[in-house]
Amino acid sequence: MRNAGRTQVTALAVALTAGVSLSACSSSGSAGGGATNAAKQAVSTTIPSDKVTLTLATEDTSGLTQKLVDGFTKLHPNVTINVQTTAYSAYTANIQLRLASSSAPDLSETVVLGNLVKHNLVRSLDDYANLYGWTSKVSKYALDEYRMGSDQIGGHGSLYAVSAGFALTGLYYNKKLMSKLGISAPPTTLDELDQDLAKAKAAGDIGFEVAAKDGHAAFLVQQVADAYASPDTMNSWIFGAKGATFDQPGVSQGAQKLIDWAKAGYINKTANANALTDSVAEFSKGNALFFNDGNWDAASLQKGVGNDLGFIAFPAATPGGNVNSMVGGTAGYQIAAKSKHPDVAAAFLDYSIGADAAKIVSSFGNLPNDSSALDAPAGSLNSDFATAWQAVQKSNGLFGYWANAYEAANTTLTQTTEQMIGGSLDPKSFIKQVQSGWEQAHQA
Amino acid sequence: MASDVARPAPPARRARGRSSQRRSRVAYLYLALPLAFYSVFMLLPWIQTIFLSFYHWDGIGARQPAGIQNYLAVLQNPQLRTAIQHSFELMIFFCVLPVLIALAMTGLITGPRRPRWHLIRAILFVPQILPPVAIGVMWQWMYAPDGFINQALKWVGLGGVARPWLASFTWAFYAVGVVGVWVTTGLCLAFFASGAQKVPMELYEAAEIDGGGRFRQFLSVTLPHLRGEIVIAATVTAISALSAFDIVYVMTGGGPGTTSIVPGVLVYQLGFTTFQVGRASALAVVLSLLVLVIISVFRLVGRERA
Repeated sequence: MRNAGRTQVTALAVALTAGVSLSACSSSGSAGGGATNAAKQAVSTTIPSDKVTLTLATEDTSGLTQKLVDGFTKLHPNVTINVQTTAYSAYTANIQLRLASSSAPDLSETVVLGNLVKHNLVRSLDDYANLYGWTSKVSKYALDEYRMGSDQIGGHGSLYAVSAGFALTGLYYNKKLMSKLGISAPPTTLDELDQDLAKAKAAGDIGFEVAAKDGHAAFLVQQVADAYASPDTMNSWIFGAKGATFDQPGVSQGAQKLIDWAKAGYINKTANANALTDSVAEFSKGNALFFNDGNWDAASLQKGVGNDLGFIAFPAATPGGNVNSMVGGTAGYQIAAKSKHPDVAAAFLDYSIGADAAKIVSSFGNLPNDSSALDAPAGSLNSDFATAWQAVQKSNGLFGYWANAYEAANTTLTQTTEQMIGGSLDPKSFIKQVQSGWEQAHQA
Repeated sequence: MASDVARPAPPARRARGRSSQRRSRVAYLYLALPLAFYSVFMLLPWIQTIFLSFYHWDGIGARQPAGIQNYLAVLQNPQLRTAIQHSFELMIFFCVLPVLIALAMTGLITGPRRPRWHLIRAILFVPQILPPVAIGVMWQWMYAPDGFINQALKWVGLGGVARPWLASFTWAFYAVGVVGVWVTTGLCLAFFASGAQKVPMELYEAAEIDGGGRFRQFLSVTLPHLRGEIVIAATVTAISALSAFDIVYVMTGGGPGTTSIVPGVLVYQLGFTTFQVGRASALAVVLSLLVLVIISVFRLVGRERA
C-alpha cells in the first residue's frame, strides 16, 4: 500500500494539516525517552481476559486492515481495536508526532522506520519474534524490510514490524486492446515491450498509463533499471548502507527509457498531472495498453477492465533474463514503545501472519505470507499474481522501493521524473539529484 | 461632534471623560477575545518559528543549536530562487491583474445612474468564502483533460488548443495563476465598490457639467478617492501571492518538475517530508521578511501619493 494511496482527497487532508503552523507541532523537544526499556519487560503470548482497548493507526484505505482487526477481535471478544485511518501523505507527515504524544497508537502502519527507531518511538519485536517463531513463519526478505540496526541502516539488526502479506509491482495489461493490436502474448523482454508500445502508438492508443504526479513514473524507471541491476547492490542503497551509490548499473538505462518513451509519445500526455487514482480511473476505462502498478489496485482496476485485465512481472533485459518486481510488505504494523498492551498488540501481529489472515489477505489481491493460501483459480488475476510472484522469486528479482530510501526520496523522484517526461532533465543529472538527497539524509 | 467639544461647561466635560473611559474599557473587553486568539494562534507560533529556525530539529528528538546554519542552507537552496521568482510572477495574477480588472469594473458600476450589479458583485465575492483547498480541487477538475475548460474549447472549435493544462511544463504555472485572478478579483471589487460609495455625487455632476465623459469621471473623480482602498487591496493580495500554498499544493504540488514551486510548498516539504523543522522555520522567517519588505514598499508608495 506504500506510495499507493494518494488522492485528491489526500491533498485536502494534507493541506489542512499544513495549515497548522509548523511550530504548533513543536513540543518540549524530547520524546520517546523512558520507553527504551520496554523491550526488557517480560513478554507473553497469553492475552489478558479482561477488557482491553487498543488503537491502530493506518493509511490503508483498502479495508484490509479493518478486516484483519475484525477477524482478530472475533477470536478475542474482550479486545477492542479502534482503527484510525488517515490518507498517506497526512499519515507520513504526522505519525512521528502521534507516536511521541501521550496518546500514541498501540499499533501503527510502518512506512519509514528511520526516525522512529532513532527516537525509540517503536518497540523492538525481537522478543516476540522468538516467542512466536516468526522467523520460521515469514520469509527472510519480508522480515529484512522491517529490520534496522543501531547504525540506522535498514535490512539488518532488530525487527520492528511484520506484515500480513506482500504487494508486488509489475505490468497490468489490457487483453482486449492487446488482441486488437495483434499482439499474441504479453512482453517478456524490454525489446518486445518497445515493439508493443510502438504498435499501440501507431494505432493511436496510449501505451503506458503513468501517474507521475504521485511519483509513479519512478516505478517505471526503477523497474527498467532493476532489469539490469543486482538486487543486493540496489537494496543496500535503499537500506542506506554506508558508501552505497545510486549511480549503479541499470539506473541510467531506466531513466533513458522514460525519456525515450515520453518523447516517442508512448506515455499518456496527462502523466505529469495524474495522481495514482486518476491513472487507475483512466486505465479502468480501457484507454491504455499497459499500467505499471502494484496489486493493491487490483480490485479497482478489475471493476473497470474486468476479465480483460492481466498482470505480469516486469520484463527482462534479455530473453530468458531476470524478471523483477518491487516487493514490499502490505499491512505491516509496528508496536509503539509507549503501548501499555504490547502482548495484545503482538498477538494481533501473530494473527495477521497466520492461516486465517492469509485468506483475508489474498481476498484483497495481496500475497499472504503463506502463499499456499492464495485463492488463484486458473485464468484469474490472482493466478497471474501467483505466476509473477514465482517468476520473480526464481529470478531473485525482489527489489525494495526507491521511494523508501529516504524521507524526501518520493518528492525528489516525482520532480525529476516529471522533468524527464518533459524532456528537461538527462539521466546523469537525475542520478546526481537523487544521490545528493540520499547523502544529505544519511549524513545526520 | 465639533460643537460638543467646543462646549465649555466643565462638569459636562468630566462626565464625558468618565463615560469615554468606561467606554474604552468596554472596548478593550471586546478586543480581548480576538487578541487572545491572535496571540495564541498567530503571534506565539510565529515567535516559536523564529526560535526554532536557530536549531536543528527533526520534529521529535532533541534540538541542537544551529546558529545561522539553517539560514545559510536555505539561502543556498537552488530551488529557493526559483520559488521566490514564481512568487513574484504570481503577484501579477493574485495582485496586479485583479486590481486592474476590479478597477475597470468599479468604473462601470459606480457614479450616478449606474447599474449596481449587486448580484454580480456577490457572485464575484464567492471565492472568498470557499476554502482554498476546495478551490484547488475544483479547478483541478476544470483543467482535467476532459474537464470543463477543454470541453468548452472543443465546443467553440478550438479543440487543437485543448491540452492537459496541469501536466504541461509551459502552462501549469499560468493555469494556477488564472485561479489566483479568479479568487482575488471579487475581493478587490468589494474594496473598491465600497470605497466608491463615499464619493459625493456632486463631484460626478460637476464633472458631467464640465463635459467629462464616463471614462474621465472615473479617472478624475472615482480613482483619486480609491487610493487607500487600492493600497489595502494590493497589500492583502500581494501577501496571498507570496504566501500561496494551499491552491498550488493541491493543484500541482509545485510541479510538473519545479515549474510551479513556491516558497510555501518548499516550507511544507522541508517540514513535513524531510522533517527538517529548523530549516523549514528559517525559510518561513525569510518568507515573512520578504512579505514585510514588499508591504512596506506598498505603504510607502501609497503614502507618497496621498
